[in-house]
Amino acid sequence: MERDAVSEAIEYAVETNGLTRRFGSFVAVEQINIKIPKGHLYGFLGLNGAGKTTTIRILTTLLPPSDGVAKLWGHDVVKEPLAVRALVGLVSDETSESQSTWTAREYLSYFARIRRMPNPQEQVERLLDDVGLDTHFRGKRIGTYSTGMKRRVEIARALMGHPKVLFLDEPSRGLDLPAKRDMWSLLRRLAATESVTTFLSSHDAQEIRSLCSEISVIASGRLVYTGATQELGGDIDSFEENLVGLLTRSERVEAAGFHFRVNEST
Amino acid sequence: MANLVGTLYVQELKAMTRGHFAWIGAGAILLAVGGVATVGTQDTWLDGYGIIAYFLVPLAFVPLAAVALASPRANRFVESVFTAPVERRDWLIAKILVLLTLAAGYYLALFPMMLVYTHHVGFPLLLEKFLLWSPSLLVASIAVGTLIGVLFIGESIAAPAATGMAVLLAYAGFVPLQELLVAQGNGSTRTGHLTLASPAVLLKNALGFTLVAPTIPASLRWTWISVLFVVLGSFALALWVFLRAQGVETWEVTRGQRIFIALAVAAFIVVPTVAAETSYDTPAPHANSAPAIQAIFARSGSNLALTWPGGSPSPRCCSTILNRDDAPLGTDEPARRDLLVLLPVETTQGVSGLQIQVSGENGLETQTEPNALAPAPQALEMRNYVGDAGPPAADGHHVAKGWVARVPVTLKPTKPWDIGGDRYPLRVTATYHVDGENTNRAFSARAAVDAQVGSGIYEMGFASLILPLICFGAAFRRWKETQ
Repeated sequence: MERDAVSEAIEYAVETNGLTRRFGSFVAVEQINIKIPKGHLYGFLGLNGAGKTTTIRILTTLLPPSDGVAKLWGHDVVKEPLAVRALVGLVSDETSESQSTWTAREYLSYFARIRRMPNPQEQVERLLDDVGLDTHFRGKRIGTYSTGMKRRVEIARALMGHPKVLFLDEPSRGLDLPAKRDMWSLLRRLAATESVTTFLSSHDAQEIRSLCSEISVIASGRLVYTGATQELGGDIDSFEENLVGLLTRSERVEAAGFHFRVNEST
Repeated sequence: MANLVGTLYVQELKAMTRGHFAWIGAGAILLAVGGVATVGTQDTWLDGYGIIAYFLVPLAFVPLAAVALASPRANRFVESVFTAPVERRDWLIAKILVLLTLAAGYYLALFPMMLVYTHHVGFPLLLEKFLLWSPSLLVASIAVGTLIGVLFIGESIAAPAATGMAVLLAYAGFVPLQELLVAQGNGSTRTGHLTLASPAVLLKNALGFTLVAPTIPASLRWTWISVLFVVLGSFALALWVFLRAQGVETWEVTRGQRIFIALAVAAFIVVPTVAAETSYDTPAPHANSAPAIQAIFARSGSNLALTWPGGSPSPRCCSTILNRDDAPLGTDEPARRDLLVLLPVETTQGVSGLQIQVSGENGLETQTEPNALAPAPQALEMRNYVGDAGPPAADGHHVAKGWVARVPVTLKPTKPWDIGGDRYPLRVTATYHVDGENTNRAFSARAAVDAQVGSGIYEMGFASLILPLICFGAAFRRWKETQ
């Protein structure tokens, strides 16, 4: 009860202060300061290699920071990793692919059990219903699934245990347009029904703009913009133009390879 | 903690059975081992099959453990595991317990074959030692393999797998090298010390047995300490590196820690080679109850031959193993044969008063007709020898055309000391008179018959098929269920 009260008193789902990660002499992320209020759908934009994944890996306890502090719902990612892990769900790119010889039921059952969820089989079926994986495929090997189906399984795993913060690292990578729109629809529905804080990392401007109300832009490991999505542009063209402006103003931007994608059909 | 380790253990154990080739691979390995066990019934089973099943395959747990530890990080499965509320320590302990369970499963899978063997042969010392050596090797292999698996963080399992294989080959290769050096009296040389880097050699010395060498170390204390240092040290270092020097998929190590890890790994090689005992002064115990019949198996010729009743000896006649070119005799089964005694007398000289005695040794029962042991001169056969194949006569020349006495004999090998390759000594003595000589001549020859447990190959084949078939059945069932 007291703990719930403390949780309610915490304003931010994710809060970082001076977050820095170095790999030898290479600085992957530097002085990242983020504050994400609870229940928001937050976008994290950047080019390949900008530091998006490194930031997410620190926030999900997979990678210790070199400097700075990161907290999720008030829990320090370094000092209280188990408490943080109990709060987060991570959809990374194709981690279910590593277990391609398992079925979706086996894959999710593994995580339901190590999370000590009551009635794991029921929970697994419920989650697979939530993400819309056809019953016919649930007992078949993940290796036989389409990319979209695999991503649904990943999302189901991330939602296991009712996470308070959901990290999505390039969730639509490799998906075709219908599958991508299907995915967006799924994420909107989950955000509405599960009321989780969603941290969506992508280099797809259209995706971020379509889903997130607030964004941060990261370039070469440093944040170059944080604010409302709409402030960057009312349509996709002006949004992208402003993004390019932000990134080219960054001293460390690597212009070659800049390739935000535009969804021509929208 | 215990509960979560238990849950992780069960889930990881189940996960092991879901791999592409998990059940098929297990079945294939057990089938191969069982095949060796079955073929091994045709010769000394423990020396052949025993070495492979109780020594070489357990060492294969080095690369297996390395890959089992490295692959979840290489394929990024750990990302999913460690974003769940799971302690890394619990996961590592669960993985090691799974490997130990697989090792125990392998060890138990050898029991059907072993039971066939002990049913017929009993429990020789070498098997007793193998039954201790094998699980010790399995634990040591898992310890070293775990350390290798932990030390490699990368996107591929090629490096830990290759390192594990290299370590396996080194550990395995040092065993015959050490046996050879000890047999030559060079066990305490630098090379002799180097072989102690292999836990297989250390454990063999510590358990006090050899495969062929005549001596074992007189003192075992530092050998045991070295074994414990390598095994417990590898587990401890793996745990420390995993929890303190690494993140989920990254090294988080200081320069000092890096030096410490390098020194610790070097110590696992150097300490046993320096500290373990090499005073090979104690005679090695007999591996089994096989008779000491040295020199009988030399590739020289024999004055005896064994044929089917009324038959002729083979062109390669005559080996000291009387039935080398024929099927082995079945133990506990009477076999009717003709024993040919090749007298070193040319047929130009007459032979009379022949008295023969045939006796088996080490459990070989012989029965002969009394009349056959004192054949009349006219019952003797003549045999032409090609080249120098004839028995040497009294004056040293090889008989070109000599007398042969044919003795019908029933041989029954009993009390086998191995399931195959049992060689029972057979002694034949005779006295006879050669025309024109004043005194009787004495004849003495020693040879052996090859015997094996007659039903051994079928029983072993059946015993070795049970578990592989279960594995293949499980593989088929999973394939059907997940199609």
